[in-house]
Amino acid sequence: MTVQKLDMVLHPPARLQIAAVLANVSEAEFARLKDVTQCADSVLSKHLSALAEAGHVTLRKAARDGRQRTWASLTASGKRAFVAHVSALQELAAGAATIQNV
Amino acid sequence: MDETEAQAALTAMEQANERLAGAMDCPPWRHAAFGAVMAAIVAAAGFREYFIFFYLPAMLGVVLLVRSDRRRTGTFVNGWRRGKTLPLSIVLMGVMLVLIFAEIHARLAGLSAGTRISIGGVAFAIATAASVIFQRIYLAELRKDLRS
Repeated sequence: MTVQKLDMVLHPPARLQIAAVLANVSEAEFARLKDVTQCADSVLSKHLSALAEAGHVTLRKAARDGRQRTWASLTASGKRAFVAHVSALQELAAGAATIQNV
Repeated sequence: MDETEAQAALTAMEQANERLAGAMDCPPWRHAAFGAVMAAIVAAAGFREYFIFFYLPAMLGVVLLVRSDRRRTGTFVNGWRRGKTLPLSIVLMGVMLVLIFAEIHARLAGLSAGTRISIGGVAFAIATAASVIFQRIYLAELRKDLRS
């Protein structure tokens, strides 16, 4: 039974972790996301750009201690996509469904 | 994607949430500072002549707390976030409004400054306790088992 569809933008584990963090906070700084995902700066930047391009995440720059820092937050559509994706994963993990990738 | 890959993805998310929970340090002074801000807002209603001396520090306190949270945790968590903490936030707001009306009533009834300060003290105790409970609920939510 096909119930939900996986969002391929959220499919890579690091992006899923980024979305998981952003779903639980209003905003997170680049350094915190790096710590949680344990990705290199360049890799994390690419994942954030991909999520932003898909409209799942918004990025903003803010100065602190004389340095520009990047803050990320999940958009409303990103939140919906994340919830649907997790739900699909849970059904698949429970063996209750076959999932179609989009 | 198969069942094993889905399990692995959920495990990766749980690890991310666990790491986030580990970084969401909230020291006792942070809970007390939140309590003090709420107490100042409540007390401001009972001391109209000194309103500005309660209200301005409270607003400054809000700004400093948000800045401190961002600096300490690298995140910002809205108190009105959806989730299991929302009922607590709504109840806290209701209780604070009741205490503000109690302050106004105490002022209009000409009750002593001690009584009005006591109402602020009650606000401090309740808001501080609510902050501690909020943190516990939030961390429990972060650490929930996604595979169940």
